[in-house]
Amino acid sequence: MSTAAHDPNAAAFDQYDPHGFHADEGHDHGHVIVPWQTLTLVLLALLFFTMLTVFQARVEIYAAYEWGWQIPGWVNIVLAMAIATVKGTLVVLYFMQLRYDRGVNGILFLFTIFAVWLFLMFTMIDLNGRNTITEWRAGEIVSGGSGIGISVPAGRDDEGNPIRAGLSGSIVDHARESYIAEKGYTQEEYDKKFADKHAGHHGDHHENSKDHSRVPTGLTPGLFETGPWAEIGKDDHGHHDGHGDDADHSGESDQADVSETAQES
Amino acid sequence: MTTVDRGLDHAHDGAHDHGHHDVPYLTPKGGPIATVWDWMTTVDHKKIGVMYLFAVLFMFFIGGVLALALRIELLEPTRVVDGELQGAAFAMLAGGEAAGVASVGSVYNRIMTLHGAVMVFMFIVPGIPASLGNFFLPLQLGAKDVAFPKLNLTSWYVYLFGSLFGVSSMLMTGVDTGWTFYTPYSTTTDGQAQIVLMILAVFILGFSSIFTGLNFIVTTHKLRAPGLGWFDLPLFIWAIYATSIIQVLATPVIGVTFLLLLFERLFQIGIFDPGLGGDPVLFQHFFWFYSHPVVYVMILPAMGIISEVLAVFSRKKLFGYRAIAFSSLAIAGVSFLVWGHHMFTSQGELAAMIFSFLTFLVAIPTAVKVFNWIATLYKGSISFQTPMMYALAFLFLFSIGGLTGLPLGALSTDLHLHDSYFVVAHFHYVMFGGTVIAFLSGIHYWWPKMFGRMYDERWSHVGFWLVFVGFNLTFFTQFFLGTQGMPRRYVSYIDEFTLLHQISTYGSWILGLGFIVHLFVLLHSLVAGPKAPQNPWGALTMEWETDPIPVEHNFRHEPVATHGPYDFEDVVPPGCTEEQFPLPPKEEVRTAH
Amino acid sequence: MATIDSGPGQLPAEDKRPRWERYVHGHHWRNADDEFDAAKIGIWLFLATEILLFSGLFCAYAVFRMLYPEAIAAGSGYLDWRFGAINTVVLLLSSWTIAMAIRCVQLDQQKWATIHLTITWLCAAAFLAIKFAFEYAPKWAEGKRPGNLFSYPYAAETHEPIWWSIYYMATGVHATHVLIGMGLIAYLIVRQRRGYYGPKHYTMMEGVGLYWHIVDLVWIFLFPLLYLVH
Repeated sequence: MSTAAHDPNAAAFDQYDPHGFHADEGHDHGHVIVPWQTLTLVLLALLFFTMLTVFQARVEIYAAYEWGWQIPGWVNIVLAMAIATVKGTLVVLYFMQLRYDRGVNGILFLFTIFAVWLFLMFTMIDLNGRNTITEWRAGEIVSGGSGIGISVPAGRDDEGNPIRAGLSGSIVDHARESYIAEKGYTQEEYDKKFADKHAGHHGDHHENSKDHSRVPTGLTPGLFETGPWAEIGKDDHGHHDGHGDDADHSGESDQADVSETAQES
Repeated sequence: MTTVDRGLDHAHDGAHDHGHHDVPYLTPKGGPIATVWDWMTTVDHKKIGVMYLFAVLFMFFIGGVLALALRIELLEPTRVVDGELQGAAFAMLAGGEAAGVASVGSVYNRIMTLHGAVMVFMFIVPGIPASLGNFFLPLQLGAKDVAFPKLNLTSWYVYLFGSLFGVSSMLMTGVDTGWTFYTPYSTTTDGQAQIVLMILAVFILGFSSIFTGLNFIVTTHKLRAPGLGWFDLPLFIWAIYATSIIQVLATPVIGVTFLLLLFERLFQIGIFDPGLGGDPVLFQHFFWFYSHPVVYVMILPAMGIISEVLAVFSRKKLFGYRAIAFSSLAIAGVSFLVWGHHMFTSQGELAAMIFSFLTFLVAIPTAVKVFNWIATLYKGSISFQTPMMYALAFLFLFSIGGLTGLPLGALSTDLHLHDSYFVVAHFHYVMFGGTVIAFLSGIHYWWPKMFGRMYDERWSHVGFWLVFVGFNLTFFTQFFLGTQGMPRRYVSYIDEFTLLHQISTYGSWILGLGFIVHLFVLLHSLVAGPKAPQNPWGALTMEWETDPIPVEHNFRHEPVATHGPYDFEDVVPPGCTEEQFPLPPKEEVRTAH
Repeated sequence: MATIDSGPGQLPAEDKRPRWERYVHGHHWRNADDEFDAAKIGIWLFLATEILLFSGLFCAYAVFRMLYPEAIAAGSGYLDWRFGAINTVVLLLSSWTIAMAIRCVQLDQQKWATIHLTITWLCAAAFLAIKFAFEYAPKWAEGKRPGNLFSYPYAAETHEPIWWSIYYMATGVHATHVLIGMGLIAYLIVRQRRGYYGPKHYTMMEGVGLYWHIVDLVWIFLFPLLYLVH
């Protein structure tokens, strides 16, 4: 509570100088004027950390490609989130002036972050635990959420309710098959095109890439033609064979994982 | 507390203050059209509170009629509602069938869903905070209004708008998803337009809830009267404050959940759809991250009312003021840790165990409250007016509701009781036996201040006993049904359950009758009730210091807190004489503590 | 947002002082300081709701990154990090300019305030332009769409449609916030030109500024999560 409520002289408070710019009372910390040097320094720091996070991601890719380092997936997310947290803290403390603000706003913000943390953490705990299926329940539990082998919505009735029709594959298979049928490609032609599209993908860690760094493919052509990173996307290693049914592979392995866990426990 | 003219009014206030702002807020401004316009555009928290009160009570009426319809269908194991009865008694049912809803089962599903959705989203969540809270929070703080009056009005219109969506969905034969909208059922079942409307209704109503909560938090922080420290606040304020924290922090999550659900329904984006690789349990996490804390949004304000009423009608300082105040905050905090106990059968086992453990934490602050209330009654000078009757009923019913929560929170017993009538009974003992009973207590307690009229004490006692008996008949039987294995949400059942279901249905009729009696008592009071004195109950909180019907700006002069809200042993209540509320001899006070 | 700015212009019209000097606080406040503090608490509460709104999207992202790391990595591979980085810089710059605009208003440097606000608005527009022209439009046209709308024939992973759902929802909700922010900043520019904001009254600017920073904050987290996964 501000002191004003208890202050018997509150009535005498100058309405046209309420912020105490010209007075020297102590309770004006809602109205700090942040020096422009501070703001600019913070901006520069933020730009630096943006570069850093991009650099970190590129280094990971470079290391995976050039030196064959298999950097675990969690390194990527932990580093990226650490840098983002530093950036976020800078924004909150200086741009949003929480550093100079009343305590109640800071407490509020921390409590919000705490609520977010609870939300994410408990959901994650559940997600980790859901893969564990105890033996006595294994018989009655079918692993779901695979997106494979379940019919996909294929249209709508008069009222707009989705109708599910018997497509046996995933929506990805469906998209591919209808495209091939529409264009009249043979499987070889399609594979060739697929390889072109995924030229950036790196064959080496195709089999075991689940938790490891991989090369992005989506760079816009011609945006940067030079520079050390330009080489990465252009290198074409053979990974054509079998990529067409890649989807099925990963799906099966997903299901296999679950059933293995079930048997183990 | 005394009102002192401390000369705090600013120059620009002076112009208004001695004009029309000194008349009671209910006084019409000119002709009927001008009055209606005045109410529609008012930023006065009292008028908004009154409008909210009537709106939520109307929603309660709709939800109640739907509940009676459910109970009639459940009178017999097989189909009850058919033929003429269908056309005559339940426009809803007839409408459903006319619109091509195939079986009576799906009509039942719709009514069940709408009962839940209307009661939860349109009645009980906004219920106490937006009506009584809106009216009395600024009054109890000694403020002229809430912090952001225009936002308050916005909240009211957003509520109306959202309810309009909900009601239109209902008129289009409604939805059959259950009020929880679990996927993938809610994304695939019939009724595209109705479901989209209902999803939007919940989404919009969330904003109304957020605005109200935000307003109350800021008001409590910044608009307390001089001398009113945090621990001089009435416990109703503490409860509303804790409620508001939950509203602000939990409601956005239902916003994003229903946004995703909307896109899921419209475009099958797949986030909740296992057919596309999505995760339906994720929806349950999202949903309960909001909907569990929100049951405390429903019950905390009720606890606040009970704290007020018990102290006033036992003429005794509330026992354990700080414990009750902090337990409100503790409940708000713990409410974010326990949502997984709604999903014991669908989530992973580790999470279920953790959630089960954490769930028992809720019992601690809740029990702290109940014990303190009972200790307050001890050696009090109790008078049994209607608000007090309801407060005592609350203690009894809420204890049953709370204690039956324990077997539901324990993982092993819940696997048996999950989705059975035991859950239905538990939920209604807490929400109806708790919140609605306390709401009735609050309405009767503050009625004289809101409308300046007294009601007939004898007839409201009749209403009370009808509600009390009817409620217990309706829901106590359902505990037995649940333990015997009657699943919830079913339209038919095996013959063995017939007797219990019939008792339950008859009870619901007595319950309905009780509400009709209350309705007439209160309507009679509005029209012909005797004028209320300034402070009929001898309460000490600030709302009783103002006129019998508060003036536009609440107080004629800025009030100053000079005593605590529950110092009944030391202070003659404002607007009362010592003959009306005699102070106890000092020695007696000392021995009582 | 009108509530944050309640009750201006109650003094007689012949008063020739700038509007911010003529500002009178709402009648239910004891003084303008209390009103300002309250508005700030209110805005922070509103920001808390914004953070929790986005937390749902982050939670969905985290769940699917755990469930389908390959699909998320492959999906992220379709995005060009350079557009993400440019947009990050654009948003950071706009955060800086709006902070500077508030500072200028506090010091009554009205001309500079207008310039800073205008740059902020332009940055927001640039962000959306890049988002729509270079990211949404081509990807949507190729069939890289969420869920059941997916029709990209060269997908490598089964769950890529889920990735696109997350991507479009997260960036879509964020882009909506940017759009709303543009509206608010445009409103600020108009009012600031008319002299509503100055050293003694700038509550609305402070509020929009905080909102705009939270939009930036969300993007700071979205950028590495969406563009830099592999």
